Order: sequence, then C-alpha cells, then structure tokens
Amino acid sequence: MNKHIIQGGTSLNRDVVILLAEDDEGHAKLIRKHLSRAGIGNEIRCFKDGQEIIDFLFCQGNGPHRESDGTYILLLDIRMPKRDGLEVLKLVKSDWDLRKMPVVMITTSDDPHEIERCRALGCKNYMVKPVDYVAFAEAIQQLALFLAVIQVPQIQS
Amino acid sequence: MNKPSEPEPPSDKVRLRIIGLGEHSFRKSYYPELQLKLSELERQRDQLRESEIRVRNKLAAILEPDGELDRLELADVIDTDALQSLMNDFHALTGYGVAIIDLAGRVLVATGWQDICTKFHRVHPETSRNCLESDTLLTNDVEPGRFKIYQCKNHMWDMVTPILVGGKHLGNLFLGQFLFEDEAPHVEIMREQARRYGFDETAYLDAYHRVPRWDRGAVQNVMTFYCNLVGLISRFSYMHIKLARATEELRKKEEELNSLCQSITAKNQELEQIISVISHDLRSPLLNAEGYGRELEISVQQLGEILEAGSPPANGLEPALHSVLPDITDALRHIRSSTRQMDKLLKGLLKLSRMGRAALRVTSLDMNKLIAHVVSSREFLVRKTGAELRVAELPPCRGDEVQITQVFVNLLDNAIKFLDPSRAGMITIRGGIENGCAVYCVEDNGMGIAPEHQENIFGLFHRLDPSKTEGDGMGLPIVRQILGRLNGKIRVESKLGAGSRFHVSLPCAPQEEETP
Repeated sequence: MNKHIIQGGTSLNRDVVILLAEDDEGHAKLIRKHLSRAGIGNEIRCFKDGQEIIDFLFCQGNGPHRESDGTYILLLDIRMPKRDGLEVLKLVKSDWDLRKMPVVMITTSDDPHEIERCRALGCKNYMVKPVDYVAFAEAIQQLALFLAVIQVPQIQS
Repeated sequence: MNKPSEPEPPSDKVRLRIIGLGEHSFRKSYYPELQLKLSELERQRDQLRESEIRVRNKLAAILEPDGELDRLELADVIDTDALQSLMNDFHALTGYGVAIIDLAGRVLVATGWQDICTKFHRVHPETSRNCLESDTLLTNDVEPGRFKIYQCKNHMWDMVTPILVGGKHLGNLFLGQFLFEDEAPHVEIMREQARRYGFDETAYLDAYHRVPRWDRGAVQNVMTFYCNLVGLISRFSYMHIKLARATEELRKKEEELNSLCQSITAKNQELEQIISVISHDLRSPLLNAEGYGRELEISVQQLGEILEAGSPPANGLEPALHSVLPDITDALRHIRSSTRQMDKLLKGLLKLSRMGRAALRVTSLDMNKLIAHVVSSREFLVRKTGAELRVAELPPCRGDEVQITQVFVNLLDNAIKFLDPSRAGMITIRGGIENGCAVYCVEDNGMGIAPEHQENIFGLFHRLDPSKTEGDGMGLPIVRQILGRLNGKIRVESKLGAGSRFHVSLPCAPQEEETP
C-alpha cells in the first residue's frame, strides 16, 4: 500500500541530510541501498560509533561538524561502541537546539524495556531491524514515507 | 653477706629500655611488681585458653550428629544451678540431703553435708581417699532406676543411684551419710579413728552424734523419689542434647541451601547474559547475511532481465554485466564476513561454557613460578611493544593451575593490548596478603578505562575499540568466571588516559609451618 505512494517519488526536501549512526558497516550499506531504492536521494552521512556522531552534532573533536544552518534527520542505532544510542539520544534531547531534530531509533531488538526508555527520553520513532528482508524493506519504506510527510524544522544556531 | 644496693631512680635511657619491655630488660627489671603482674596475666591467659578449648570441645561433642557422648561429662549435660536450688529447697522442706557426683569424683550438687564429712573425713588425705573410693568404686554395679545401700569406709551409711544419659553412665546421686535409727552408734570405733587420724576427739565425736538417724522405711521412700528424679533428669538431658543436635543440623542444611541458591542465581545470571548476547550480537551478522543474500537475489534477477531482454542492448552485454558484477562481489563479501563473525561468536561462547564446566584441580600454587611461565609465554609480544614488565615477589595461593594461568595470561594480554602508543609502556605484577586472602595486581600505564565502561568490560563480547584491537571480547568474562569458581574476586581500578589496575584476590595457600 505504501509502496504505491513511494514509487511516485517523495516530496522530501532535498536539502535534508540524513545522519546514519550505525556501527555495522554491512547494515549501514543495506540501509543506504534500501533508502535509495525507496526513492530517497538525499545525502546520507554515516557515523560508525556514538562518539563520532556526538562530535559531529555538538561541534567538538577533530571530525566533521554539522552546519549551523543545516537540516538533519538522525537514524540512530541503539547499540554502538564507545557511546551507545541511548546516550546519544539523551544528549540530543537535552540540547535546546538539537532536540527539534527528528530522531528514529533503529535496532535489532524489540525489547519493551528499550522501547520504553527511548520513549521516556522523548523519541517515539522506533524501527526494529528484522532479519526478514521483506519486512526490513517495508520498514525502510515506511521510514521514507515518514520522512516525506513530516516537516523537518530547521535547527537554529 | 651481700646486701643488694638500693636501686637509683632509673635514668631516661634506662627507663626507655625498660619501657621497651624486652625479655632482657624484664629479667633485670627495676619493677618487680611488673614481673609479678605479667606472670599473673600469663597464667590467666593460659587458663582462659584452656577453658576456651574445653568449651569448644564440649560444644562439638553435643552438636556432632551421631557422635558418641564419650566426651561429655555430667557437668556439661545437667543444669547444676537449677538442681542445686531445687535440692536446697527440698532439704529445707524435708531435712534430707543429696549429692550429685560425676565419675571423676567432682561434686556438682550438694546439700545437707555433714560436718563429720566436711570438717574431718574429706579434709584428711587418708580418710578423703576413702570418701573418693566410696564415691566412685563402690557405686559401680548399681542398675539404673535402682538404688544401693552401702556402708562407706568411714563407717557410715549411704545410698546411691546411677545417673545415665543416653545410656552412658555419667555420675551418681547419693543420699548422703546417715545412720539408721535402730542402729547403735559405733562410739568406740569413732574414738579409735580420731586417735588414728589425729582428729580432736571431742569435736569429732560431737560431729558424729550430729549425723542424722533415719527410719529405714522413710529412707527407702526418699531413695525411690531420688531414683525417679534421676530418671527425669536423665531423660531431659538426653532430649536436650538431641534437640541441640537437630537444631545444629538444621542450621547447617540451611547454610548449604543458601550457598546452593547463591550459586544457582549466579549461574542464572550467566545464562541470561549469554541469551542476551546471542539475541543481539548474533542477530546482527545474521541480518547482514540475510540482507546481502537478498541483494544477491536482486543482482541475479537483474542478470535474468538482461538475458531475457530479447535483443542485446545497444552497446552490448558487457556494460550491463559490469554494473551488476560489483554488487554481486560486494554482497558475497558481506555474507562471508557475517558467517565468519557468527562463527567467532559461537566459538567464544563455547569456550566460556567449556571453561565453566572444566573439572578443577585445586592445589597450593607457587605464584612466582606460575607468573614466570605466563611472562615467558608473552615475552616476544612484550619485546615487540618495547614495554617494560616488572614482576615482584608473589605470595602463594590456592587454585587450579591451568585456570589461574589462563587468568593471568588474559590480564597480561589486555595490559599489552591497551598500552598507550604515545608513552613507554610499563606493566607491573605484584602481590601480597590482605585480610587472609592472597591478592595480586596487574598494573599498566596504558589507555585506561572510562568509569562508565568499567563494569561493561566484564560483559560477554564487549570490546572497547574493535577497530583498533584484535580479540574476541571473552578475556575478562572468562577471568571472572574462573575466579568465581575458585572463590576469588576481580576488581578494576582505572583512570582514562593514565592506566589500569586489575586486582585479583584468591584464597591463601595453607601455611606449611605454623609458628606456635
């Protein structure tokens, strides 16, 4: 049902940059492929651990920093080395500017505790990586639809 | 004749030596009172020690489940104070006395002592021997529940019934010296005794006349009463012992149960951790294998479409094939690396499980030798990193040699792995005894561990920085598991950027020589 709409192309603002924090290179590539197949041609930037994405978002460290006038969407894996997804989520949601950024948590588990903790931290969007490809593709498709439909507020500062 | 000179008041130097309380200074102490006090304290200490041992032995005898009552004495088993009080009242009421004496001749309960016994017979060494003989030998062949009338060697009558606890003869109950009402007093014999043993004749005879003279029937009644009393005491004492034993056994079983519960809980936690690891860490590569398998399908589909297109495309087949081939190669690479990853994880889990089930051979370990082996096995690695490795003198411990070796191999490997490349590496292994345990410390000046990770490092498959180091993330969980099985502990102390210390504690090896 969703595929029908998506195949027609999305109306996601091309300036929105998708930030993908995922430590597994294989997963990151698969997500990229599915996003592009779902018709999302936005720039996708990958980060392979919690520290890297934090450095990017909070403009610290030697790596790349975010643009002050950029619009971003964060796809955040819960399990990452150095600093895990929940920690990143907490930091983002407690920053006055960054908390406006839409965040989608991705993970392999559907542990209700984890879902609850994400919700408690202010993130309602949760995507489970199922092992079944078809469902995974559908989940990504749903994400694309979500991205197409929502308004991405611009982050100030 | 040599008169000892008056000691001068001691100078400061001398006083210091005395206050040093060395053996030598004591011998020529200027304070003899100190010497006296010290020997009195030593005597008291020895007495205390002896009584402590006695009490402990008695407690053990009572509590040993099927132990013989051999080590028990009557005093251990009956409530002498309560009985004394009871018999005091009985004597006041009836005028009949009693004595309860154990098999060694010790008097535990006594009322109505006669002066002739206390002031004369039991005092004089020869006559007192007669008393002792009466107390012990003459009383040997009486059946429990019955009493015997006999004449003591000092010519007075007594009656006795044995006290048995748990079938064991522990003592006797005596009515006490008396004369029968219808008996003529043996004045001449007593006068002769007085002369023989040097007693004051008048006082002695006077005491003799004060010995009670009882009706034969009344005496039988009293003894029957005493026999019943003894029966009661005997049964209660035995029940008391049995109860104490049963309670002790219950307590021991409870302790065993608790310890079993604890080990089950620990095992459960381990299992839960393994399940959690399987569901996350194993699922991840599985997802990749499935995902890239599907990518392969898509590539094959694309190839199929190209072949079925009827006429070949304008520029020929090659460009089309070229565009699909990299996808196929890439997908295959991911699939194979995922399966290798799953294999590694499973191997790690199997290793942990095998170590958890391995039989333990617990012996005293010479840690200096053990660590020397560990160090020499890693010598090449240490030299390669240019780090300095120092090992101090180490106390022995109790453990399984193979498993403890594994513990220190893992700790040393970690220390080497996490050295800071920006400074010269220094690894130290030292040990000591603390609180009755052998403790060892493996210290490095490497990268250190941030506080929030210090508990995680013991988790399965946890790796601090997988991109920078090799390893299966099993080293520390295995260390913790081994130490848990050998009654040891591990604790980490670390500062990010400065280094880490891993503290291992193990049970002490029993000392070869015990200094008395």
